[in-house]
Amino acid sequence: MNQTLRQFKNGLLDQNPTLVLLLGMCPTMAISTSLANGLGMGACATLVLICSNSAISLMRKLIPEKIRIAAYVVIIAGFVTLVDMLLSAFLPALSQSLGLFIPLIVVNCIILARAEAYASKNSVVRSALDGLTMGLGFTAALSVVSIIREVLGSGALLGRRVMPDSFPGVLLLVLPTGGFLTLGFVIAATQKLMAGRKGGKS
Amino acid sequence: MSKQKRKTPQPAPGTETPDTKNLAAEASDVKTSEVESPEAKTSEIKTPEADSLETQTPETQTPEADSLETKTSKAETPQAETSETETSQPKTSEAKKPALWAALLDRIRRPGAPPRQPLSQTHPVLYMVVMLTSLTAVLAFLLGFVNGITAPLIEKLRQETLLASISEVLPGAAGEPEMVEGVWTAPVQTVRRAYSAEHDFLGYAVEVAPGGFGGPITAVVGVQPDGTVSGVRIIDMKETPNIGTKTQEPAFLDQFTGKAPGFVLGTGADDVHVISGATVSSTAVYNGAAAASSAALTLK
Repeated sequence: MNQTLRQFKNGLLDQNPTLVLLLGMCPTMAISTSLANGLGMGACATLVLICSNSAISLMRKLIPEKIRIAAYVVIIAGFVTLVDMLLSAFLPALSQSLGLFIPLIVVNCIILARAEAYASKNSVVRSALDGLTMGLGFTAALSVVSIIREVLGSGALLGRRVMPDSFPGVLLLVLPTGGFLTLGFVIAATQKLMAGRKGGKS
Repeated sequence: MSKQKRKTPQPAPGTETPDTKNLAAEASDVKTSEVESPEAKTSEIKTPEADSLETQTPETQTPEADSLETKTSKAETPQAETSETETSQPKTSEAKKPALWAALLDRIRRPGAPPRQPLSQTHPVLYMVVMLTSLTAVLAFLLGFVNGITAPLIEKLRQETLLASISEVLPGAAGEPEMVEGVWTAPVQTVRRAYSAEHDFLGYAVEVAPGGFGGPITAVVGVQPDGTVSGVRIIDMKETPNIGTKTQEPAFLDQFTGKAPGFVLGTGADDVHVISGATVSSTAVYNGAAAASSAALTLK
């Protein structure tokens, strides 16, 4: 139980894949222009993370160490393609909104990193939980960045206008440059917060 | 590897019976001639533990040998045995065989011990090749299987979307539009004639695939017989989310409705306005609509 809590804390804060480990920058920059996109990408990545972590954990004793990366890539790419095909055949509405992100998951290094750092050394249940917590951490970080970029960049949230009509929207924030700037500020704020927490404890 | 594997069980059935008999006979006849490797031999025939071990594997043992052994072990107490083995003179040629045999048998029987060395240790490179090949093969098979199930469903959904879009860009279109035979220049893909429920000719539904920022943008353009665009709907695109994808919103697409042939991109009242930040995607959709309009004009 204690370990479960620690895993959640790890995924969301201490080892947050986006804000602390700085993994998956490419999808973060491309996706975090609106909250709907951020949530969609987060959900897809979480699903694939849970699946691939479980599969790799199951096979961790069979996969020879020297070719493990190749084996992981095969497993992850296979899963992503399967999810893509199944979604577009059986859940076309969801596929319409998430379809753009699914191919991006293949290049999301969070998934490979968790396979290498966690799933290849831990039990199936723990690895699946790690996939869930890391996915949630990724989703949370994406959401924060997307909210900032959508509100300030297009003056809307979830497609609905929240800023006064006179607010023009900062185009820079919608473009990838703005993604890096926003992420930098969010990372700085997170570090400050976490340093404060640790300082208070000791 | 496979040679090693096979070797282990093979000698056991052939040599076991005579050996055990031999040993048992020896034990009962000449007690002092026993063994210079005490562990192996005593465990084999004399001590009760060894006996129980033997009886655990009846398939490799003949009943005669078994009963003989039971007798000998009953006749002699373990204490007496050990003292005798200590004083016995060496008999190398006879002792070596059963020692090896016992060691091998012991290895097989021990519950935790692996009876065969795994391939990953004996031939690591071969193991890697086998593993990666079989992993890829299994996944490829799985993907092919799932694709076989989903591909017809996806195609059916695509056709449904296409028909729905056609009835949107050519209001009143009913039934399956009829394909127009011909060779089209890109970005025009297909041209269909759409009819109303009363079989009146409504116009052409032109499927176009102009190149956008992230690959072709598939769209359906409704064109009236005089070349006027009656509507544009995007079927599929891989443009940048929230930038290029703005071109599939009504605010942009509705501009095309009612445009007479020869419409251009620009800032005038009758021109098509591009979305700032999404120039490439907007231009692609415009190219598709303009090409559809001219394609329909050539059909007259």
